[in-house]
Amino acid sequence: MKNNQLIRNVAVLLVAALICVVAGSAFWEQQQPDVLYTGNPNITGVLKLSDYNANLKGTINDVDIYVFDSGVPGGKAFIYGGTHTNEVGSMLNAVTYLENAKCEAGTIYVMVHANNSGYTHTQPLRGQIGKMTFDLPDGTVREFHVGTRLTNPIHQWPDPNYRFNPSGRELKHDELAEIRNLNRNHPGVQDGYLTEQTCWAIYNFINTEGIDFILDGHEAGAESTTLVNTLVVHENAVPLGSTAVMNCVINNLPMRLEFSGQTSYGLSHRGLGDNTNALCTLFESCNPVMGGYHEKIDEALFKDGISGNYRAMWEAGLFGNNYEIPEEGWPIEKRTAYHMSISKELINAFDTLYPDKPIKVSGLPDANEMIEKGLEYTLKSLG
Amino acid sequence: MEIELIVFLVMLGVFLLGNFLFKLPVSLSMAAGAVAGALVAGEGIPLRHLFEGTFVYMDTILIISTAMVFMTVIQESGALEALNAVIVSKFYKVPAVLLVLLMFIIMFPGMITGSSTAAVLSAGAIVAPILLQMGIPAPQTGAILAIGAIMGMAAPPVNIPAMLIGGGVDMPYIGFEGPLAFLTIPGAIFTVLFIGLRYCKNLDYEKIKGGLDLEIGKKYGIKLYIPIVVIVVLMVACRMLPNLIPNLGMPLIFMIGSAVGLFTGKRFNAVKAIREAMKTTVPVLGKLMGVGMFIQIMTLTGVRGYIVINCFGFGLVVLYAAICIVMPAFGAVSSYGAASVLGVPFLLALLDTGDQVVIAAALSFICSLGDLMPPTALAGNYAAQIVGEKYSKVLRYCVIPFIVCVLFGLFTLLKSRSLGFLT
Repeated sequence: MKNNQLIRNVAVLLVAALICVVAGSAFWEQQQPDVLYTGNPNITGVLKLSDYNANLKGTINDVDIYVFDSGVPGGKAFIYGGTHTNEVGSMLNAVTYLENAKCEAGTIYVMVHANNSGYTHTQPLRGQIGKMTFDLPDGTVREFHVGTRLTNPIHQWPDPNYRFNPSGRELKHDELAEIRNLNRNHPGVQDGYLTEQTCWAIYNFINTEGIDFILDGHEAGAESTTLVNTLVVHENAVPLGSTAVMNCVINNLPMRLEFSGQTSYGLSHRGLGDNTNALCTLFESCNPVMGGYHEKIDEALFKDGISGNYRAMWEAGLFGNNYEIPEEGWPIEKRTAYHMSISKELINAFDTLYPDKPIKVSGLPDANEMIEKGLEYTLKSLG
Repeated sequence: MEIELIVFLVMLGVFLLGNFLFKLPVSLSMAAGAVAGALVAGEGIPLRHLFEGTFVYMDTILIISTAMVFMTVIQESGALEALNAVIVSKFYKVPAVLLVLLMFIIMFPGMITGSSTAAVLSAGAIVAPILLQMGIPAPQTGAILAIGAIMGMAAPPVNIPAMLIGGGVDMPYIGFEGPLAFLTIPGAIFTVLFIGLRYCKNLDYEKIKGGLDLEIGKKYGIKLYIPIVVIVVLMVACRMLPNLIPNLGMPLIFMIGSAVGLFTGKRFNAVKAIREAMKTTVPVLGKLMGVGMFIQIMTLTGVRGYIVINCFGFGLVVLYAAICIVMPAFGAVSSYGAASVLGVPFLLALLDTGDQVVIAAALSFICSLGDLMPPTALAGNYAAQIVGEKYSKVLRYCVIPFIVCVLFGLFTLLKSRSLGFLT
C-alpha cells in the first residue's frame, strides 16, 4: 500500500517536472534578445547606457543608443521606444529610425529597447503573445518580442517595502511593483534598483550629451480616452509640441496635445522635464490588445489592431469623441506611422522654432505608404 | 453561434462534468475546463498561459496558508475559547449584544484569511456549541455560521473576490476597507439578530456556562491574546507608518503571530495541528490556481471580451438583475470564479455609474454570497456538518438573510457615487 502511494507520488512529480521542462522552453525563448538591423550606413556611432551609468554594465538593461550625427552642428533629439515593452508601436518607430534615418543637420539619438528586461516576460492573466513576426517580400522573417510594462522580477527582485526616490513618487503597499516601471522612476537613482539605474542613465545621457528634446513612445488601450493619440508635453515643451501636433493634424493624422500633470511623478515628461534642460514629450498611440475587452489574442489582433468589440463600444459612445476606432482598426503600421510622424514633426518644429540649432532628418518612409503597404515593406531583411 | 460563446460553454461544461460527474476537485475541473477551452479555440495546450494563470495568485495563496496556520495556533492554544468565554460571561444579560459579538468571532477567521471555509471550520466550530446552548435550534445555528462565515470572507482586510475583481481591471486593492465594512457588518448583525434573537431573549447563564471553558482564561491570563494583538499591531503599523516600519507582508505577519502563539497558551503538537489545517486549506489554494488558469484562457480566447461586450449590450435594469441572480448562482461553481469571470465585466459595465471601489466592493460582496449555493456551498455544507444537520435544512433559514444581503448589495451599487466617501 505504502509502495503504491510512493509510486503514485513519484509519477505525479515526474509528470509535473516534464510539464515544467516543456513550459520552461517557452519562457526560455522569451529571454532571447531580438536581432536588430544595424546596417544603416548613416549610423555614426553606438553608445551604451552603461556609458552613462557604469552600474548597468553587464546587466540586461545595458542597451544600445544609436547615433546619427550629421556632422553639421545643431540640435540634438533623442527618440526612444520600449519603455513599456508591450507597447510595440513605439519600439517599431525606433526600429524605423534605426533602419532608415539619415540626419542632415544636428544629431539624432535612437534607443529601441529602453527597458530591455521587460521584453523577457509577459503579464499573467493578460493572455499575451510573446512575439510578433513580419514576413518580408524576400521570404525572410523579422521577429520582435512583446513583453510587459514592468522590469522582469528575475532581473530586479524583491520589490522594496517602501520607496521614495527623487522622482517624488512615494511607492508603498500595492503600488510597490511600480519600482519596476521605467516610466514611474525618472530621473532615477545612480546606484538604486535596476529600473532606477536605467532611468538615471537616461537622465545622465540627456545632460551629458546636451539633448535638446526627447520623445518617449507609448501605447494605450482604446479605453484610455485621455491618452490615445495624445502628445503629452512638459510645460517647457508646449510651443514645440503644439507645433508638431498641429502639423500632424494638417497632414490628416488627428491627435491631441496634453500638458504633463504637475504630480505625474516619475513619468518621463515630468521627471526628465523638471530635471534636465531637454524639452520632454511622450506620445501614445492606440493598441486595442492592451485593453480588457478585446477578442481572442493572436498575432493578427496584435498586428492588425482590428477589434469588433472596441468598435462597437466606440460606436455606442463609451469612449467619447477624442479619437476614432475605424472598421479597419489600428494596425501596427498605422500606429508606427503615427509615432514616426509625430517624431518627425517634432524634429521639423524644433528646426523651425530654434533656427540656431538646426536639425533635419531624411530617409524615413512615407507615413501613408507605410500604412498602405505595411511594415513588411519598410523593415529591412536580416538576410 | 459565436466561437467565443462555444469556447465559454465548453469551458463551463467540462468544468461541471469534471466536478459533478467525475467528482474531480474544483481545481482540477477548472484546469480541465481551461485546457478544453484552449483546444476548442485552436490554441492547442498553451502551457505558457496555463503556467502564468496557475501562479498569478501566489501572493494570495501564501496569505491564506499562513493565516490558516495562525488560526490553528490560536484555536489550539485556547485563545479563541477564552475569548468566547469572556464575551458570553460579560454579555449574557444583553443577548442581542452577545449574539453580535459571537457573530464577529465567527467572522474573524474569514476576515483575515478571506476564506469562509476557514471561518466555519475554526471559529464556527467553537461558537456553534454556545449558540446551541443558548437555545438556538441546530438548523438556525448552521445558518448563522454559514452566513457569518461568508460575511467574514467578504469583510476587510482580506476579501479575495474583491482582489480578483480589482486585479482584472488593474485596480489596486486600496480603499476597500470602508465599503466592505459598510456592507458586511450590517449584513452580519441583521442575520444573527433575525435568526437568533427570538430564541435567546431570556438566557439561562448557568446552563450556558457548562459549555464554556472558563478556566483557560484564568490559567493563562492576558498572554493568551498576545498573538492576536501582535498581528493587529503589525498590520496597522505597516499600513500607518510605511516609511518607518518595513512592510512585512501578511504571510510573515501571520507566521510571526503563529510563532508567538506557540508559547502563550495550551501546549499542543504544532506540526500535527498545522498539517491538519493545511489539509482543509489545500483545496481552496488549488481553486485559486484553477481560477487563474480559467481566466488566463478566457482572456486569451476572447471569451472575457465577449462577456464584457454582451454585458454592455444589456440595459442597466437587466444588468443589475444579472448581478443579483447570476453572480451568486455562479457560486455553485465557485464564488472566486464568479468574481473573476463575471465580477470583472460587471465592474467594467458599471464603471461610469459611480465610485469604482464601492462598486467593486459591492460586487465582491454579492459574489461571496455564492458560497451558500448548492451543490458546492462551501460555507453552508461545512456549517451543516458542524451542527449535525442536512444542508437543505440549514439553507432554508439562510434564504431571507441572503435576499436581504443581495438587496443591500444592490442598494450599494445604485448609491455607489454617494458612498464614495467610504473609500
